[in-house]
Amino acid sequence: MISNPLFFVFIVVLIIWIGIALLLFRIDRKISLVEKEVSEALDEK
Amino acid sequence: MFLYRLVYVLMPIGIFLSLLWVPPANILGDASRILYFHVPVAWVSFLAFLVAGLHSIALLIKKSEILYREAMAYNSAAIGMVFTVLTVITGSIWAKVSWGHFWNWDPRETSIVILMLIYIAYFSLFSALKSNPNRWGISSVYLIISMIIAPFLIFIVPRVYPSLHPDTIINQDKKIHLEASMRITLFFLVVTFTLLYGYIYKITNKLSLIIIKLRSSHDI
Repeated sequence: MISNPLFFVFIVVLIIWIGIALLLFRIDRKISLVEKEVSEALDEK
Repeated sequence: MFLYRLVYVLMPIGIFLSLLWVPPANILGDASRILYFHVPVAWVSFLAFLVAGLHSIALLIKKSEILYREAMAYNSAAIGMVFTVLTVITGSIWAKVSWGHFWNWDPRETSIVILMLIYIAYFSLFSALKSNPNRWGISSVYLIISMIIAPFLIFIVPRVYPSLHPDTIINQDKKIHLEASMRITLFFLVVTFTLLYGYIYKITNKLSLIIIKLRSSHDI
């Protein structure tokens, strides 16, 4: 299977996806935190 | 939101299916595997523009939550634009392998370029009307007109003129000319890319809502 060039393509595409997924996950988490902080701050006002 | 997060698991499965599980196409060989990315990405670009147009209709009818609805339409069009560029890139790579040139002025290629120009004009219009209080109305009407034009460009023009593209899934024979495993993989990736669009769309909308809330609190 390792000698198959498609397996190499699969690994490269998978690594690209892991990078995109990590970025998405981090952005999602940060925005959720900011959303919570903003609504709390606005409620206090 | 949980449904959209399934994309984290579904995408690696889709990549595995398209590159290692599915057999290569008869004539095109392994190069045909780009189909499993090209078609879903093209589908999402159309879906995003459709959603942008529908939000614009809702905005014009309801005339409430103007800033948020306007942002939702803008976000969807922006994501659609990114996916359109991806469609052109994946299509060009496939064209180079199959037809020998990156660009052949095929009806489908021409119509996607026209669609891209229509949306580039939308973003130019949107930023040019930054200080105009009627921006929401003007940009909504533009998006609705674009949404009406898009199906003609995507579904009708390529069927009227002779095309280098292979027979489409919705064709005259009313039969899907794809082997079962290819069909499963293609539909699996269409669903996965739709979820990816939904996930990115939700995140961008959340961000827009935060910005709108902060701006309105500053105004108070």
